[in-house]
Amino acid sequence: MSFRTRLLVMILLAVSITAGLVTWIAVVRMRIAYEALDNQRTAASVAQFRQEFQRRGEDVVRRVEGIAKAESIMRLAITSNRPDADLSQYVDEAGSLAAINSLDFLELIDADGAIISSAQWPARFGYKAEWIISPVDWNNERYFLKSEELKDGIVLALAAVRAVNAGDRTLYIAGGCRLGKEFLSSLVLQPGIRVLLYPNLTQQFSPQAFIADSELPEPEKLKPLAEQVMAAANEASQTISWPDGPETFHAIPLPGRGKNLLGMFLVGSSRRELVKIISNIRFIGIAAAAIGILFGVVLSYWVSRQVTMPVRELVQGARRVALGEWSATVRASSKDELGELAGAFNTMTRQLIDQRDRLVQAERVAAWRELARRLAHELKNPLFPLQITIENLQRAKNQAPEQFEEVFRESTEALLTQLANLKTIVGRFSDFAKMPQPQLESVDLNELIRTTVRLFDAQFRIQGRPVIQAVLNLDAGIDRIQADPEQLRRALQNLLLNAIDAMPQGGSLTLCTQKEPGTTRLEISDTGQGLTSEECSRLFTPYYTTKQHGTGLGLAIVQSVISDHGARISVESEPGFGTTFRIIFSS
Amino acid sequence: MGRPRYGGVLRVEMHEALTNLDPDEWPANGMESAKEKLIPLIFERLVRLDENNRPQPALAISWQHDSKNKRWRFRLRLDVKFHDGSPITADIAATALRASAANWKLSTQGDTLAIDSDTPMPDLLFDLAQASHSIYLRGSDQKVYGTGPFQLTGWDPGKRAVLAANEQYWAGRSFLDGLSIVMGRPLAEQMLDLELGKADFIEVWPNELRRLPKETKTWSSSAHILIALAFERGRPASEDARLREALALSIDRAAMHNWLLQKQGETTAALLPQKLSGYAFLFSAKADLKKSRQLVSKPGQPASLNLAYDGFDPFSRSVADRIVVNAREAGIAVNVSSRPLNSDIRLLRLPIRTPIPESALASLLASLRLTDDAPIPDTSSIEAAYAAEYAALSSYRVIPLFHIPEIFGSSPRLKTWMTTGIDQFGDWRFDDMWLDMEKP
Repeated sequence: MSFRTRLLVMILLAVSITAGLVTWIAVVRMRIAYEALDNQRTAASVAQFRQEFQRRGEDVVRRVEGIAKAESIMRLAITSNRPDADLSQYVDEAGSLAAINSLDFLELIDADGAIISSAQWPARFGYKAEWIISPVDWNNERYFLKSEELKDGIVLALAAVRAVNAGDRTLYIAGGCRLGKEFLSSLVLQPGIRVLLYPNLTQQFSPQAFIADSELPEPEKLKPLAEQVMAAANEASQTISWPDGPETFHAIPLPGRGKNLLGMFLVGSSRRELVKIISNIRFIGIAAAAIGILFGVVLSYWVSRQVTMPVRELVQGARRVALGEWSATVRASSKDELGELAGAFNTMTRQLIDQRDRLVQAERVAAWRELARRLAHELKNPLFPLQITIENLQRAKNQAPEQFEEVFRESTEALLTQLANLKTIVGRFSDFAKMPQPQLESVDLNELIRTTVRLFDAQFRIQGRPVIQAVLNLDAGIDRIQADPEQLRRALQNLLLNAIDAMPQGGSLTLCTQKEPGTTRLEISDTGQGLTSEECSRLFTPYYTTKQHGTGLGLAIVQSVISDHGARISVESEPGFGTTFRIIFSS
Repeated sequence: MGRPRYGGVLRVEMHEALTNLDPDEWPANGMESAKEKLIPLIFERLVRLDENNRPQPALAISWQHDSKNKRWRFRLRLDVKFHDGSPITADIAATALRASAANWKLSTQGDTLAIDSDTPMPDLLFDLAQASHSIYLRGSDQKVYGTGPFQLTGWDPGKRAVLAANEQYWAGRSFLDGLSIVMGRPLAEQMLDLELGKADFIEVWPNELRRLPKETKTWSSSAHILIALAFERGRPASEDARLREALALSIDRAAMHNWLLQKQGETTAALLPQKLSGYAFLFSAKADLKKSRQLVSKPGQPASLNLAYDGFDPFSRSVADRIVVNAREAGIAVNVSSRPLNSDIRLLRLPIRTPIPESALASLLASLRLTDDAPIPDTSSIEAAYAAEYAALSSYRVIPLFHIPEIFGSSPRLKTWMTTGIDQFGDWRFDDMWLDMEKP
């Protein structure tokens, strides 16, 4: 990862983390504040419900008491005292009394609990309402919550009962108001608050039972809360997720006279506003982060550009140096660390050039010295016999003139021999110096190998020396190669000569060709004394030889020829196990 | 009681709304109650029944029959004229009867009308007393004229009928100058109109009796209206005999009789009233809630029944509501609706308009459609009638509840002269009524 990228990532991370942290803190603070406000709103709604519940309950009590004092009720109570009382004429009495007194429910019940008249269900005349004849002083009872059975179901009612005593018998007046949607609508609610009633009138949870002042699309989601309140008869809260946002419901149990749970009142506080505010905060946070990131990108680009430009110049300078352009320099425009680095780089390249020049000079001197040493060594051997021979001639002319002729003839033969040696030595050096460019043509490598090996047949079988067995293992399927046949033959001859020299005790010389994908391989293996790894590594160095009488140019010439043909040569050897030269030609 | 006075138009209100009085739409059974009442005011029959159900001469002044009751001879009253002034003839009477009784062989000779049949017709006189056998004349203008005490002078279909006294009525002009009959008037509004003096004669349902103003005069027929529940055929719930029996046993008729009917009429478990058949007491009308619950608690019981009632009849609504309560006690859910569509049971109001039990039962069985897929039961004798009724009721497809009278209320100004004003079948005898104009 480049410095610029790292710098950019660092800035982006810093901006993002900062924006995220600020947003999170703002959201948490907002949530805490909203929770407190929500609790206040819920408590206000519950208080209003209780107040309205009490107001309506007392209102029901007043109305029932008013009915109990009505003249028609007194007449009915007196009539019911008669043994042959025909109460059927009062069967519609409750309906009209309920309408006059704005009661949803009203029943006139005789002392036996039999319904004389029912406003809410007129057809129930004659049936027993046994709950009312329990030993209760109804005239001192307050209002209470009651489940009221109607023709089309059971509903919740705020009820009150008053007893009218006439003679020995009692007439009961049970009246009430329905606790339903109208009741909920009368509550003045703050925005975001809604209220529900759940009459707990069946054994199991019924989603249809909810009474709401607004639409409740998925009431079954309130089942866990309702069941919790029904089971424990305690207040409980739960947050429900609606499609348009969450809503927290607080449920208050509503017991009846017998403390049995008849229903529950639920206050729903919408958290949509909170979600909206949080969403806005997050949006602002994301927007700020985005702007910060954008700014950071620009800033980091500018900063990194300022910082990395000298570095890049240094990198480019280093690459130029690596490519051999040792004269490469960089601008040292600043006086900071990067400027010092650029100066040091420039100093370094200058020193490298100086050192290179000195090294070249030293190598050149060394090469000349080596050449001189070699020349001296090579020339010294023939010169010494020349000097002896000439001294012998001088000595023979001065000391034994009678033998001069014979000495002269022998000496001149020796001089000519040594001069021939000198000429050979000089020719070799001359050949190495004048290695010509190969004249490439299509060559049959196998045939070249055969003709070359054939030239050495006599040397493989020199009398008095152990025989060297030449083995040709040539792949007939190899392609012809582009090569200079003379140079290649010369290289091959050098390799064969080396192999012969390596096997003074005789052995086996194997030449093998093989076709490989895209290449042609030639291996020349002997079973000679082998080479050490150090010897192998220096084998192709000019003037390096392992022999007593070698110039050290043979394998150098071989490598030069092979290289000029675009091929590669390598050597594998192990002392005592022979040596293999491997040449790979490109097809 | 003072002397009757002539004059005055009687303002009558009724809840039914008739669209026509055409004789072509006078069915032998199932005629609307209002039509049964209006037709005798305009049209007359050969014979009428007196208060003791004895045939009395009307357009026929005498009759004879053979020993087998197959051949009857009626001598017509000659001084009778239709409302258009045309005199009645035997041929006109035969034409009218031919339309209402196609199986009779009718012939005329002078002022004599002969009715022949291949089967004995012992109750022919009672049949001829039915409104559907009224005698009418279809004039050349295609209008229909009767000979009754009143003639139709105004007709606004479904809303109002105006009748004027027939000055040429053979039995003497009615005391009233005419009748103004408002149709389609709800019962509650009829009562209000009577109280406000906008109506003189209204219909009253038994459960509304207690609400009538104290000065209201009431007129009552015999208990000839059968109130019954009838199960519809082909409905899954209706085909459950156990459920039908359970519902029948759950109904507390006595409470309804006391509280809703104000003890008018009688409870019944039979189709025919005790007074008519003499055997109605053999059918028990007592509720047996315990047995009803046992029947309901057995497996495979349908959960609910749909009960349809006449939406124009508040009494039917009250009875239906009470049946809901009774059935709920037994564990049967009954839903009530004024729409008969998809109903399992109907609450019916069936008038009995003949004093002959066998004929009355045959008419009721036909009305209840109990004989659609079974042979028409033999009701030719009272024993056969009992067997037929027992067979009809044992399946609980019909649950008789009450026999109730028709009740009318009027202002105290309305008085009668020689009759009770309302006959035993609830027919109006306005020809014998007069208005005491001096009283407010």
